[in-house]
Amino acid sequence: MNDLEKQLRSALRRCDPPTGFAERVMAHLDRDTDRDSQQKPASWKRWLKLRWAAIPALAAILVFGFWFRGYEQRQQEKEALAAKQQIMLALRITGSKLRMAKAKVKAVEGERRKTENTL
Amino acid sequence: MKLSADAFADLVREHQAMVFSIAYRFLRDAAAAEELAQDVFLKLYHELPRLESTDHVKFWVRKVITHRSLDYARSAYRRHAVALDDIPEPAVPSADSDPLLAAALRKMVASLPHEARMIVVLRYEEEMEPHEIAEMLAMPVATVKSRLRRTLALLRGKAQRLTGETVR
Amino acid sequence: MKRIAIFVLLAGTIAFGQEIKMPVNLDKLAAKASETTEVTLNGRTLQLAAKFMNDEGDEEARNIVKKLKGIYVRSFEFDKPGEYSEADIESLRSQLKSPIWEKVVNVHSKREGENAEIYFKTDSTDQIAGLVVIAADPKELTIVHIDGPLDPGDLEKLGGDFGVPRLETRPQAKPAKAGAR
Repeated sequence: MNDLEKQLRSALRRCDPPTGFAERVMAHLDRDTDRDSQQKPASWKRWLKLRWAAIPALAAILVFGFWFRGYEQRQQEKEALAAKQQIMLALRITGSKLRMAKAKVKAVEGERRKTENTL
Repeated sequence: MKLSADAFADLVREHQAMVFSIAYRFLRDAAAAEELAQDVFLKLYHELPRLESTDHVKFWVRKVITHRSLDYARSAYRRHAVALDDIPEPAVPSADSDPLLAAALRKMVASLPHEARMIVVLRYEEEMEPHEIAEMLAMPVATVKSRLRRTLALLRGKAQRLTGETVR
Repeated sequence: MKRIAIFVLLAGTIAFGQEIKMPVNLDKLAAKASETTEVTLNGRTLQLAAKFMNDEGDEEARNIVKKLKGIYVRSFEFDKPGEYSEADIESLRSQLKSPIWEKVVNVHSKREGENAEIYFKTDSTDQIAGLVVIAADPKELTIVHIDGPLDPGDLEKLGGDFGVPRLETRPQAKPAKAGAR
């Protein structure tokens, strides 16, 4: 394998998905399974269970609130880091075009000075 | 195959890097890659009774994520926030001898036409042989080889111009 | 021939800076281009990014970026000459004819078919408040718009000892049609 291929292997090596990926898949599966199994008609026993279920549900909402704030912060960081890469790309392109223009101006000015000197 | 929930979770963990990476390296969109990867595993859960072995599972998830990624890219010539989701290389410490060149190579690969891009990802990220790639993408082996050759020549030229150095 | 082989697209607007509007026909060039680079960063994103530009080597870029309102790049590479025309850029140039924009560099190389134009926007205090670069050669077209204050030191850092030359180094002849050699 030559240099380029080695570099491609290195550049494209596997990376892990964001932390908690497997847990999110399993949570999704649980939700799907629950949705599928919720075909029973409502009954007073079920209603009683749901009332008691409200307490842990409230706790879960609070926990989710904290998690979501952290999630938002992480998303913001991701966005900023990605924007930084774009900024550096844009500045590099700008720099290269400015240098190109400068080189051309110098070349033209050089030509004109030569012409003026021979006159 | 039949698996308990815990065993299935272990299966997800075993293959998550492969599935996510194929989508991510191809799409350069971490959010889309995670969504597609998740869909593949959800589908796998229902497909398990039809799959016969762990090798079959690996082949199946790899094939499904490959085709899902291609379909996603083809149906989505929309203005993606590609760079917005281009998170820094996660999980493993950087082994890039030249991180700038590696980053440039990744971007060059992302600019390739869909099929050429997927061939490069499967070849260099998954280290699949051309005949395996041909089977995965349902195309002749000769086509895979010639696309790979042309794509490498293109990338080599771009890399050389970028670095000013000869790249073998 | 140089190659910029990076493909980056950012969701959203076709507006190219607050008062400079990207000509709609430039979007069509992406379909013809073999490589397209597109960067669209508004003020909010730049300020956010500047907060995270704390690595070694980021300081110069951060100091430029944190003042800016936008950075916009469109760059197209084509397989053969003649894929774009002066008309494609003309509607952009016409926006730069307003009094607040001044063309400070205008170089045309007939032999190589390469053209470079640089425009500065100045504010009421005569400070540079924006920069547009149009770089065109037969197989590549690049437009850069940086919206926001730039001082000469920033320009120097961007271009590397960039000393702003005199306006129009030769009488403005009609530029050769892009792609013609």
